[in-house]
Amino acid sequence: MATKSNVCASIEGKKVAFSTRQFFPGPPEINEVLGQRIYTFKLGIHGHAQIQTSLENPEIERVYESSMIDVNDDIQGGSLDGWCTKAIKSPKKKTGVTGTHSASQGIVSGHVYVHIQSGHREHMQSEDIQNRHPEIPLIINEKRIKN
Amino acid sequence: MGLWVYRMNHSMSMTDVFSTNMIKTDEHDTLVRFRTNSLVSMPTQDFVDSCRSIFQQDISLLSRVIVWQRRTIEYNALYTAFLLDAMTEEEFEEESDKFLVRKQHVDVSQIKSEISRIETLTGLEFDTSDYAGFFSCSQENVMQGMALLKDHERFLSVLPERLR
Repeated sequence: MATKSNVCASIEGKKVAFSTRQFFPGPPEINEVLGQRIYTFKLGIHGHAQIQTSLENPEIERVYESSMIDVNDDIQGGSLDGWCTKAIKSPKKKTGVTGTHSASQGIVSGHVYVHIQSGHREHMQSEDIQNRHPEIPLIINEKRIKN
Repeated sequence: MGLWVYRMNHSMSMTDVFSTNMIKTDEHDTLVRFRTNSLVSMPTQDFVDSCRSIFQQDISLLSRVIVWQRRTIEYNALYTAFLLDAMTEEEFEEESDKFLVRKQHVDVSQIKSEISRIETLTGLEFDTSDYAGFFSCSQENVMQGMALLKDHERFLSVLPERLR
């Protein structure tokens, strides 16, 4: 089990749990490696994703060699993006994810890939986020210190 | 040498002027530029043609951005209908076929010039996945184009170490 928050760290699994405060669905694509349709998505502001069920044969099935593949491997970042082979249904709302804010909490299944697009530091230091959510850097840093 | 004067209507922009054929010049029109110790001239038509070319490139690029955003809005509306259980998964898959994208390789020099122009024109910051959607290419492809913008701090800041 490993946790990563550096840009480009990624996970691949059969079932992945995620939490976020922004969910952007993207149009479907044809993945050349899998040879099938994938549904893209992006998780903004404090995205977190964790493998709940690993791929059946991860060494053969995974698309990216650098992806983490074990159960409970997780990534977190300012912005995550990825895809899955099954359309994502309504995420369930869960409160208390960052202490004072609610966040979407959902499960993605099929072959799922999630990767860190921007790390916390880059994301939190952006002027836009500092202006809109001045409390977020503080909360996330507190959580990290406790862990 | 002819004196060339053009009066713009208040409601007209420079784009209106250069993107239409409102400017009429003839072979005697010459544009003259005075400098401290020199005088430079060029046919007015050449100047108008070069301005028109620049504006038309921008208009074409912005049109593509609008089409891309409109497509995104339409897909979001479809996906929302699916989330609201207004359609089954099979119906959603069938409808989403219209939005299906097959990624292609895009020339990195095109990515380099267009992403910096888009941000200048719109004043918005898009990320690598946004641009991958815009160009219908991979994020790796977008990052290779971004990496060519060595003077652009924001683009370099979103790249992984190996590409900076």
